[in-house]
Amino acid sequence: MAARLGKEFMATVSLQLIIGGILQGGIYALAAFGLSLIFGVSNILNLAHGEFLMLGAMVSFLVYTGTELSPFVTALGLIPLFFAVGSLFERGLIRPLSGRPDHMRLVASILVTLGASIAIEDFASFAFGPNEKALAYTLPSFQVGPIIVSTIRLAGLAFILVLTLALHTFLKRTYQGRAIVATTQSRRGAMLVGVNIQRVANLSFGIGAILAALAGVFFVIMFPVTPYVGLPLTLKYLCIIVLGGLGSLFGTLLGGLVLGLVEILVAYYSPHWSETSAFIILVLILLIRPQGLFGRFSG
Amino acid sequence: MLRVEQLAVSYGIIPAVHDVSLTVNEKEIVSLIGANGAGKTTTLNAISGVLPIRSGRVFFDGQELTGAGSHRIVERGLIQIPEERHLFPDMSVAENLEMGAFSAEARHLARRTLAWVHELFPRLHERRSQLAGTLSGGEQQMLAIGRGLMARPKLLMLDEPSLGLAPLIVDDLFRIMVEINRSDVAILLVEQNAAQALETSHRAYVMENGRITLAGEAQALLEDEQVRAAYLGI
Ligand SMILES: Nc1ncnc2c1ncn2[C@@H]1O[C@H](COP(=O)(O)OP(=O)(O)O)[C@@H](O)[C@H]1O
Ligand SMILES: [Mg+2]
Repeated sequence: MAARLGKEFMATVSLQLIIGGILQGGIYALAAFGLSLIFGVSNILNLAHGEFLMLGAMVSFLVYTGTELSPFVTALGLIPLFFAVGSLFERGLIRPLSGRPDHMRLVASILVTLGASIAIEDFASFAFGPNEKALAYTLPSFQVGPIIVSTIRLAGLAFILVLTLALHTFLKRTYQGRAIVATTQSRRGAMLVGVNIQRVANLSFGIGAILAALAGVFFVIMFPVTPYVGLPLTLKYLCIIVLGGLGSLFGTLLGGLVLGLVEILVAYYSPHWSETSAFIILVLILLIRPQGLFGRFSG
Repeated sequence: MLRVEQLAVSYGIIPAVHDVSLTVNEKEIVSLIGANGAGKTTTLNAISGVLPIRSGRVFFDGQELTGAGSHRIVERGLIQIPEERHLFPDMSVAENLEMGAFSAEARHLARRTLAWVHELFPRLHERRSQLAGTLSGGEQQMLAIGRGLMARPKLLMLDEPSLGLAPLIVDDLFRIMVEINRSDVAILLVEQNAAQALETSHRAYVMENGRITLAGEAQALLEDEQVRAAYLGI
C-alpha cells in the first residue's frame, strides 16, 4: 500500500516536473528564438531583448491586477502592441547604425542596446516600482487517475505550441517569412534576389519583441518579476542560441527546451545548481561541439 | 540597356574603382576581363546596389538606378550572379529557385520560368529536394544561375561563373550562357578565363588597377598583341 502510494506520488511529481520543464523550456525557446531571428537577420546582438520580456510581464501584471482579465487574453493584445514596440526600436536605434562596416556595427549595436536595456529598466522601475510583481492567476487543476495536472501549465503549453506552429507557417509559407529565413542564411543572397533587407530587419525586430513579450506573460505567471530580470535573461538567451548553434533557428528552439528541462530537473534534485546548469551545459556542449548542436562551421 | 558613367567606388577611404564607364546593349554579351584585384567584382557590386557608389551614375532600361536599393534594382531586371554564389544553404534547390522569383513580377511568372530553368539545367530538377549547401561546386553554380534566371533578368551579370569548375562543366556553362542570351537576356560576363570569355562575347572591356584600359570588339581584342600577352598567355 505504502509502496503503491509512493509510486503514484513519484509519477505525479515526475510528470509535473516534465510538464514544468517543457513549459519553462518553451518560454526560453520563444524568447531566445526572437533574439536568434534578430541576430540572424541583422547581425545585431540585441541586449535589450530581455527587456521586452520584462515589459510584457509588467503589462500583463498590470492588466490582471486592474481588470482580472485572463493573461491569455492579454497576450493576444500584446501581439500588435509589441510588434509596434520592436519595430520602432529598430527604426529609432538600430537602423541609424546601418551602413557601417559589419564589425563596427556589431560593437555599436552592443553599446546601443545595452544602453537601451538600462534605460528601459530604469523607466520600468520608475513607472511600475522596483518591487517584485507576482501574478496570482490560477485555474483549477484536474486529476487523471493518480496524477494531478495543472491546467494553467497545460494551457501555457498549448498556447506556446500554437504560437510555434503559427510562426513556423509564417516563416515557411509566406513571402515575408521566407525572406526572413533567406536573410538569416545569406544576407547578400537575399539582397540579390530582391529582398528589401531593411524591411525584413524591421519585421524581425517586431516579431522578436512579440515573442519576448509573450514569453513574459508566461514568465510572470510562474515567477515573480522585477524590472531587473531583463539583462540576466538576455544572457541566458545568448547561451541558448550558442547552445543550439548560432544561426540555426531550429537549434535555438531545441536549445531552449533542453535548458528549461535541465534547469527544472536540477532544481528539483539540487536547487543550488539550477541557475548554473545553463552555463555548465553551454561549456560542455561547446567543448564537444564548438559549432553548437545544430550550427555549421561557416566559411 | 545598361550605361555606367564614370563610376567610382571605394572601400572606406581606399579607392578600388575609378572612372569606369561601360555600356551593354540589348541582346549583347559583353565581357569584363582583367587580373585578380583589378576591380571587376567591385564594379558589379556597385551596379547591383550591394556596394555604395562614391560617384558616377548608372542607367538601366531608360531609368537612373544610381543609389537605388538592391531590391529595386532586382525588380527592374538587372540581376547579378555573385562570385561566391551566396545561395541559401539550408534551403532545398527548389526553395532556392522559388526565392529567386521573389520580386512581384517574377512571382507571377515563376512556374513558367521554373520549367525553362529545369530545361537549361536538368540537374537542378533531379536535385530539387536536396539542400543547396550539400551540392557540388558545379551544381551550386548552376543553382546560382538558375536562381538568377527565376528573377526574369533583362540583363544578367555573371561574376566568374567558371571559377573552380572542371573544364567539361565550364564548356557546358558557356554553352548555356549563349542559350540564355538567345532568349533575349543581355549578359555582362566577368571572367579570368579570358580566352573563352572573348570567344563567346560580342564586345569586351579590359580592366587594370580599377580602371578600364581597353575596350572593343571581342574578336579584335582576341587578336590584340597586348591582350594576348597579358591575358591569353600567348
Ligand atoms: N571588402 C573589401 N574591403 C576592402 N578592399 C577590398 C574589398 N574587396 C575588394 N577589395 C579590394 O578592391 C580591389 C578590387 O577588388 P575586386 O573588385 O574584388 O577585384 P576583381 O574582382 O577584379 O578580382 C582589390 O585591391 C581588393 O583588394
Ligand atoms: Mg572578383
